[in-house]
Amino acid sequence: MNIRNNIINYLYDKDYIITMYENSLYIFNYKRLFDFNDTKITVTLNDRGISIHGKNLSIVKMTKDELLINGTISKIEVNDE
Amino acid sequence: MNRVKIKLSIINPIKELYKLQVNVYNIEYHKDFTVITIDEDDLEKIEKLNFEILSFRGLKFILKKLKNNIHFLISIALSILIMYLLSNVCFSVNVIHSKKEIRTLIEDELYDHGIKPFSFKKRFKEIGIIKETIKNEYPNDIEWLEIIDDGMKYTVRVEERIITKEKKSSDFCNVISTKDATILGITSSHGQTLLTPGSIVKKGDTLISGEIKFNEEAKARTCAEGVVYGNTWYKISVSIPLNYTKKEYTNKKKNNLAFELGTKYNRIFKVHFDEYDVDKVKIFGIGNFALYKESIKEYKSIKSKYSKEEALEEAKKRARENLLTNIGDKATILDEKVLQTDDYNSIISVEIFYSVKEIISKVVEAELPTLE
Repeated sequence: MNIRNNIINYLYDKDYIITMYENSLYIFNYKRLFDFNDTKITVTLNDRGISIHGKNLSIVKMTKDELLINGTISKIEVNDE
Repeated sequence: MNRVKIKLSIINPIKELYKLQVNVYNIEYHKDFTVITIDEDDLEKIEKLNFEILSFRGLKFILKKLKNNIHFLISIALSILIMYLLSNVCFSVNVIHSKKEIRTLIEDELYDHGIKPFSFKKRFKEIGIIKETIKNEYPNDIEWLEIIDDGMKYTVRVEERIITKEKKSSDFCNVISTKDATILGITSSHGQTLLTPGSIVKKGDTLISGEIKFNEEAKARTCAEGVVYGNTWYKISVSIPLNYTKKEYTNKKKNNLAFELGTKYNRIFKVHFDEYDVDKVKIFGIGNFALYKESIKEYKSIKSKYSKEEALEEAKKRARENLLTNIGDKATILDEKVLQTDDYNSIISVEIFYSVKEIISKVVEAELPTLE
């Protein structure tokens, strides 16, 4: 069963990933883009929401699963729903 | 999947694009517009937005680029093809040997094995096999064969196998004199020596006889062998003009290129020297066409005049050269004497006497005496 789950997880990745770079933030498997302006971006993930605070925030890549945010990120808030 | 780069007049189009569920792969924010990269299929979704297509990405982009640069790409491909052909095609086969029969034999054999002008070059291993095959086919004719890949041509060096035939020994022969002479020395290995050093002989006299006599009776017959040195005499006449022209090189040199097409020989650059010598080296040749590199040296013709002594020395030098050319290098000049000198109309005529030591013997088959 473990192998089956691993294969399913590999083929159909449901887990979200957040990767922080120097002046950017990469989010994989996000659910919804909730709010967006140049100081705050709110995104919902599987079971929680995160708010990214900063300056000059801009989305440079936006697909069904991926989001890449550029800007000076000062704070990331995680909200359990 | 083809992608397309578009320009939107909206400053921040994220909300609209998110609502329309458009995948955006790159966003560039500008003061009055935004440039985004999206899938070509998503263009329908943003029909309502005011946009301008800037360029295509992916396969369509590559195809468009290829189409725009088709002439350049074809010329590149052709250049590569020509380079490949030039470096892999043999334009001539040059067999180096003094004998025409050997050259023809090798050329024919190489032709049969596919080494011929305007054909593809062979691999190193194949050339080795061809060499061995030809050598094995003609074991009595070819001693050594080398096929050198010399750029656009093959240079073939061949050494003929010389099988020394056993000397056919005749049963009865004499050694005779080839010239009138005074005998200086005799070395005999077979036969009976008839003369001693100091004897005077005429052309055709027997020097070493193949008939061995004892008490005036022939006891045995053999093929006489030996070398006889004789003192011979020559008179050489030489005429030399006292006025002559000599070349004096000016140290001015020039390199030039020339080409030969059939029987016509043309220089690429004009030579401005009045008098010059040319050394040319062939650098390239295909069929009747050949390209040469010329090294041109300028000289000035200077008129000069021999003094009597100089003219005499020059005449002696030329007479000696003529004599040795005629009688061979093995001969030695024993004595030299100027017999007569005439100076008339700026020409000096000299008659010189030479006393020479040379081989005067020759083996000839002798006829057996007929029985009475």
